[in-house]
Amino acid sequence: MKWSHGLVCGAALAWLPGYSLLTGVLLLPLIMVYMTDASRSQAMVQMMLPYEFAALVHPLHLLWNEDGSLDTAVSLLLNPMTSIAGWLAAGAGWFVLEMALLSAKFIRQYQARARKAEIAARLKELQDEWAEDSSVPETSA
Amino acid sequence: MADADFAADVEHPEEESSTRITIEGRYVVETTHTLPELARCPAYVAHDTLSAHSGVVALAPPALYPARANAQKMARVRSPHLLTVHALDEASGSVWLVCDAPPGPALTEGSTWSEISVLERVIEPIAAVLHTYKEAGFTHRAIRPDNVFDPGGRFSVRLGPGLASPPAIFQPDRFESLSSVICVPAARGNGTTADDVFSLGALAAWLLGGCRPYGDEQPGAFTEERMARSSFAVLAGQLTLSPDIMSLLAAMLSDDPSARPAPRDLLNAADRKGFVARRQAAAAIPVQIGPVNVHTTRELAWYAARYQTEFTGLFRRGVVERWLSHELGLTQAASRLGVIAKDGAVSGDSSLSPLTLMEIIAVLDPSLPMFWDGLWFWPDAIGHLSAAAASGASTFPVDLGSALVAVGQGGKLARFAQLSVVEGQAMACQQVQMAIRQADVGKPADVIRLAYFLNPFQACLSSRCADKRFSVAWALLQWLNAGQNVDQPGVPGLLDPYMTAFLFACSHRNGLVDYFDDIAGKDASAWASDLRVLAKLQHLYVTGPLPGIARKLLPHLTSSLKQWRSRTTRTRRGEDLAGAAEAGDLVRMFELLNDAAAVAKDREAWLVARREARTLEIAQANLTQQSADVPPGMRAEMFRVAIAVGAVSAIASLCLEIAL
Repeated sequence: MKWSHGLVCGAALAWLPGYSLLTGVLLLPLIMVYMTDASRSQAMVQMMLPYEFAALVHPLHLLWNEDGSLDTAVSLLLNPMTSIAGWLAAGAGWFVLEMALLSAKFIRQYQARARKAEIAARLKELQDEWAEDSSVPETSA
Repeated sequence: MADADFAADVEHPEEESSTRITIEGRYVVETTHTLPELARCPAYVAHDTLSAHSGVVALAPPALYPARANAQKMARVRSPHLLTVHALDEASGSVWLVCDAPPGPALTEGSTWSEISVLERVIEPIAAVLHTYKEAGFTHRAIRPDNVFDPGGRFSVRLGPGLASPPAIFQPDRFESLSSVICVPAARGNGTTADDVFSLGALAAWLLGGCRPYGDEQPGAFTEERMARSSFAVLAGQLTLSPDIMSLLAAMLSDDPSARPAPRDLLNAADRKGFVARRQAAAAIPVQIGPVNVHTTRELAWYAARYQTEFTGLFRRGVVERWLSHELGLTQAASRLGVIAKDGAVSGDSSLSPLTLMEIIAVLDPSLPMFWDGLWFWPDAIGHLSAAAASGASTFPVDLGSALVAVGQGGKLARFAQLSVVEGQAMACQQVQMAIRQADVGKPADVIRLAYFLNPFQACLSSRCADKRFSVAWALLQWLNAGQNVDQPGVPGLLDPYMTAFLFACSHRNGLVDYFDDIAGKDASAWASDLRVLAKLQHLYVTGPLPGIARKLLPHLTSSLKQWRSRTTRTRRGEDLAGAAEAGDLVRMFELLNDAAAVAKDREAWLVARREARTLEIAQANLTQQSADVPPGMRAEMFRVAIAVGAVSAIASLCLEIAL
């Protein structure tokens, strides 16, 4: 993590404590994924980010309407629905990805099976049409 | 008796028309009414529809003893003392001859003959026949007691036909000259008029000797004695006759053909005196060859063939040359032998080659037949020889097929013709040589073709149809199409080699093909080869449909369909083949099975299919090995899909928040 990230986080906590708290708590799963991602590609984080954003829109709007106070942020966080919805949004991203991968796998398997059947049918057709016969006489042609 | 046997006016109105054959629209042959053989040829009752009083008989030369090659021209020869041949016809599919019925019994019936009756009733009339034959350029070669007929009284005898069977093939030894009798009957050839004169002399001697039966005489029994003592001495020497007759017989029975009188000299034999028999030069001191003391060149030539090892020794040591030169004064022959000996010494062979021995014998006595590897024969008899050998009718001291193939190669016939003094040999050898070339005779099995090539009246020799005597191609094709007795165990195919050679010779004679390969070819099976031959003949002869043959061939041709690798093509062609067979179209069947362009196309398609199959097998193997895991590319794609779904959700959430 770059030092600028810490500076930004510090500034955000100083000037926008309500927003920072709400965002930080709701993005907790994302931060955990970021920390534990072994591939370092952050592809999972990038993928989860839009889902988290979708979950953050409503609480942030409520906080905006209350001038972004820390109390409001805390009260919002104390509402279990807000935290659960925010955290589940990250899970939903993971779930969508897994479903997409599973579907791709199924489609691939189906396509392979269909191709195999097609090849077997064509091979049988060729075998029937051009079956070698040991008694076939040699021709000069 | 013979009159009754050969009676021509016997009516058989109840007979079916199928048992009758009409020849030249005039002569009706009753094929179910046989008569005693005439000139050893099967005879049948015949009627002349235009002349009820003329007695005729029909002759049916069997396949093994066909009519002579020039029978058509010989039939035109007319003589009052010869049974006239009125017709020679092949319109029925086989050779039929119609000739005068014999006027009386054959001389074999026996009676007493005086010298004057023999002269006037036998020698003079037959000499007239021989003179006519000689003028026409033919020989008779069938002058023997069973072919000369006595009308009785003071009438002259009449000579039976000589064209109904191969020349001299039925001649007993005692009626044949030495140059002919040393050959097996099938190898005697057309001979010369001098040979006919000898036969006439032998017939006269037999009549004057009391007509003793000769049927039990073994072939070759007198040959050695005749060689040693002369034919006259053996056949007529014991007779007590007037000096004029004795001198006449001595001249006629001379072993030197040039010393025999011409037929013209015998036309007035009864009035003519002073026939002089010229004796062959004999050495005072003989040369010993094996156990025999030899006095003449003819004897030496004959014994040289019998005792080849002993003769080779004498020849190598120059004894033969010296004997010829010193004892017989034949310096020219001796010098020619010297040249041959020198050539042999150069080659270094210990034994004499067949060619060398042939040359030596021809030099020793140029009037003898050709000697090759144990076989005496006249070149113009090669056709009969090959027929006899192929049919197994005769046994020969050598493998005749190999011998004839060897004779036909390397100009050996031309060499013999060069050395022989017998008239007509050069032309005969040329004809045989040409036939060998045209018939493409290259191996012993091909020799049978010569029988058909050298005699247009040679019937098909196949054992399956020899009794039918087919002498023209369409008759054989018709018989095959009828499908009677066509199968023969052990013969792979419809046609046997005799039939194939016969059909080829007929086509060649009709000018339809030039070479054997024009109709025959190498095929996968004998049946396919037969189809090739028969289709060509159907096309050449425009025979029309031959469904019988096609149906016979069809089941055996399915293996030929396997040359196409494509099952679809095989099925389609098989159906077409069956259709063509049903229609009797052999040409179409042949085309279906011998379509080189289609076979090439099929092969190309097969190669393409093989490549495709290989590609598919590789693809199949790859599919089997392929992991079920999602590949990284697709995984990244799925990530992008998930991000896109998230983005859409975020936008939707934002929109909802703004809207609500």
